[in-house]
Amino acid sequence: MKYIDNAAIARIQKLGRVRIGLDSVQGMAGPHKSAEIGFGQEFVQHRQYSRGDSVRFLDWKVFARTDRMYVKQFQEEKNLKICLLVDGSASMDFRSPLALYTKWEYACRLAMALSALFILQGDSCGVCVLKDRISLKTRPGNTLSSLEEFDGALGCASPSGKGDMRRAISDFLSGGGRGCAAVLLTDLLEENDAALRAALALKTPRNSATVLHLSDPAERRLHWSGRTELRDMEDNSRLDFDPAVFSGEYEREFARWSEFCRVTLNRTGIGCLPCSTDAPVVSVLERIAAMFARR
Amino acid sequence: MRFLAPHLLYFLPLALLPLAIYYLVLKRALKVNFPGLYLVRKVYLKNLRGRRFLRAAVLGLRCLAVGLLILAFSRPVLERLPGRLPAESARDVPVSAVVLLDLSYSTRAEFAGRPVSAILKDAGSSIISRLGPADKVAVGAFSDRWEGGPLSWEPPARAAARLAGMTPSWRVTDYRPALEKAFAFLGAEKAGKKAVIVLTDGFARGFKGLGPDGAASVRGYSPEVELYGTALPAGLDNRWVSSVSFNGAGLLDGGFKTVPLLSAQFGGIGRIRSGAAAAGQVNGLALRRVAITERQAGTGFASWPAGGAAGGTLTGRVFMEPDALQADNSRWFAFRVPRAPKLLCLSSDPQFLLRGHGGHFLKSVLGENVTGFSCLFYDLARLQDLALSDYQGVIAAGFSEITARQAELLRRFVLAGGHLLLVAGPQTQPSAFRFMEDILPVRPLRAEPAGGARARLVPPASAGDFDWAGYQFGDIKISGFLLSTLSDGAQARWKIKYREAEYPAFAEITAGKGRVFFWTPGLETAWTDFALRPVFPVWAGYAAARLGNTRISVRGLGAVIGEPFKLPVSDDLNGPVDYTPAAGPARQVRPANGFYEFPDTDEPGIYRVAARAYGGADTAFAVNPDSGSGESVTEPAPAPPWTVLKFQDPAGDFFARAGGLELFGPVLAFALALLALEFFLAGLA
Repeated sequence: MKYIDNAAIARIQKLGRVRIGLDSVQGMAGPHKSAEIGFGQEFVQHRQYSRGDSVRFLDWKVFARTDRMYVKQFQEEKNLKICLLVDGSASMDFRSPLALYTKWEYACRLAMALSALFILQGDSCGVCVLKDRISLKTRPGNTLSSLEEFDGALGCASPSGKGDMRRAISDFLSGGGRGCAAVLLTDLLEENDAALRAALALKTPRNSATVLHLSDPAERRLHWSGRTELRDMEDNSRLDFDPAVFSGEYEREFARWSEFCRVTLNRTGIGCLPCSTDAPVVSVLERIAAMFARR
Repeated sequence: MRFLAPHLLYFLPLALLPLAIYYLVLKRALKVNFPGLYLVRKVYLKNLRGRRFLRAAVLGLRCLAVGLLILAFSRPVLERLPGRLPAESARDVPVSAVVLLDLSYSTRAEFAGRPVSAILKDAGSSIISRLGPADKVAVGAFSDRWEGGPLSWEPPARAAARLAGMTPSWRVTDYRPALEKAFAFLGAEKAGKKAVIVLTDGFARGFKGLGPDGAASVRGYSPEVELYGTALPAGLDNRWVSSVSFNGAGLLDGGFKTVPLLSAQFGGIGRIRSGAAAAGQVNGLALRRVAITERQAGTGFASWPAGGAAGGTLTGRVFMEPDALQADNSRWFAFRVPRAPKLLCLSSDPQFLLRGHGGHFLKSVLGENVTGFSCLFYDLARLQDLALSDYQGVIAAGFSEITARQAELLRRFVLAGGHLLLVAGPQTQPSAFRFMEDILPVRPLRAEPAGGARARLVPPASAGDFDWAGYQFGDIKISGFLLSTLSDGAQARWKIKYREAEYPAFAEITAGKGRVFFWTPGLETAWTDFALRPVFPVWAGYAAARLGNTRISVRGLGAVIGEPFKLPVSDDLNGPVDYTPAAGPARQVRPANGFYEFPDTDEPGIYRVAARAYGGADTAFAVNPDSGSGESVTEPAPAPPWTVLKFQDPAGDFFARAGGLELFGPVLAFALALLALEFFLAGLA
């Protein structure tokens, strides 16, 4: 596989179980709480017996005391359906000499690692690539063979074009994306914070969302000096200047913006984890696991 | 402000080099793809205004600093303003000055009631007298050549005295030789401030020798040598005699008669006023005062009849009224006029010499010695009494018959080398020539009264010195002529076109050693009005020249001041001659290589040469300043190639300027300071 290998899967396996913190509403019985009342192990409430209810859950002690028939209801535990949304806009194709991979490659590796993590703990997992629309969507799967399918799909895709996160997420939510745990891997780079606002839409009462904010080291700090012409990878606009002149100020501005994104997302209940593309994927995975564990 | 190394100023455009580099680097910027310029642009725009100003300031400072560096190495000198700073006392460096006095004849002019040469000498003396004890001075003089000995440093008092003793010459102005000498002299000086002061009238003529590059083109030129000069504050009103010419057969005042005419051309007339007068003298006799007639472009002319010059030398002078520069108001002349050939005119018609007849016209032109020819008029019947051998040519006209005896005499005269012109007339029958048919250039057929048929005279295209263009031959009326055909071996110089055929009008033939000419239209008004036409005097001169086998050509004898005059050895002039210059003692001159060379022509005037032996003829030549040099044009040059000192106080102005501050150090320091500031600001930008 292109973006993950067996050794990585073995290392992920050692991370153990990760609770992503969302009540599952669909799927098979699994390790996650379901949003629905069902027949799990944890008692929730009594409900008056109605015709058709299984007599297996009749609370005989209440019937004996009150001569009324109530059934016990439990929190249903199901497997979680997780969607990994990878930003496929052209800006994700950037890689500075300081980074290990382009942001796209890094996002793919991270998505594959997360897929492995979730599949290994029995969750169902799918991968979508978002550009101005959903450009790629895999069938959810919960077997290791699904990983190969995901890897093949991501290997065929490549970042291009101007991204439109708002429309892509809208498409995702309306196309069966509700009730799943969404993990968005993006650089959030869109004019006027459009990507950030779009990410906020991922959080619904029935969805949990996590944003992995990817950035290249050179994005955070302009390391060029001398006369330089920067070309925007999405809209091809250009800017002639000496980056060294603004380097410090830009670094502060990027950090401030990155923090603003994180706080804004957190305030909405969306987990946000800044990820630098010069960090090993496994370490990021551990940080993700830790973040999920805190929630 | 002036520069000691002005050629470095050519590099001043290099001050724009930083700008060029800036834009060159901008074009070669590193191109980088970047994920999103959203944040970058935000930061960039926030800082743009201040940075832009700073960057422009840095660029401006960089250009200014480079420019100032070039300026510093051009060694600028700030000239002190007179009156603001003390003059002599302010000079911290001694001056080595070469004072050059212009001695060209234009400095003989008067300005504000004083000779310009005196004004210039006063200016030089005042400068020399104010030199300090550490200063050095050398004095020289020039015209179009170096006047005087080698330059040397001398005490100021002696230099001033030498300057005061110099007098203007008659030569023209050329600054180049003097500047070359001065630059070479100052080139040997090692230290101190060096200056050349040219005391001159500053008229435009003197700068011709320097060319467009001015003093920089002079050999030995050094920008370290400061060049100062004087110039008159305004031009002078000046007229001059440009040239004098002599015409042995000129038309006086457009009149009919041709006379020996002395003409003078004048310059500068239009600028002054028309109606100026000129006079003169010829061979010791005064010429009357005449008004100068204005021509185009500020020139004028005047003319005088000058008879009696044949066979000798005509010398004299033409002069005009005084003006600012009197040195060019007169012009000497000397012309050698050849001896006039003797002609004889014979006729048998008593009315031939009366008004309205051919003889009258001939006499008015060829008689009275007006064309330079000496022509006598006799009756044809007295032919046997005359010694024809005394004459070069004979004209036979106004006769009805030539007898056999007369024909025989004329034939002998021609065969012996004489020239004969036969002029037909209404009274002349074709048979009149029957005894001399063998020497006639034409065969007379009949007297043809042209009547209604139009006969037209056709002149030759050109005849040596005679030019027939411009005369209206179509208007000449010919009502009769002796219709003839051309003899064998004869040539028809002039023709008559009559009834679609051409007949000889002026034919000639060689007979023995002489020549015979025939004029078929005659000169009588009964046949033609040719003799009344303006072309007739010229024709008469032409016919006389052919008869005399010569043309009266006057030779001007003249030389330019300072140039030796050369004369070839001739029959008239050979062996040792006595030479009397216009100024100076007479001495003997011998010919060498076929030429006499008469030197010491340093004054205008008549220089006389007297033959001592072999019966040679005395002669003379005139010496004048070079009228074509433009020295008489007393207009100031628009931009002399030196610092012009104030005319009112040249000494004060010189010391104020010579004490100027050299700004190399301050300008260099300022440029370096700007570079440092630029370096600092570049760090911020």
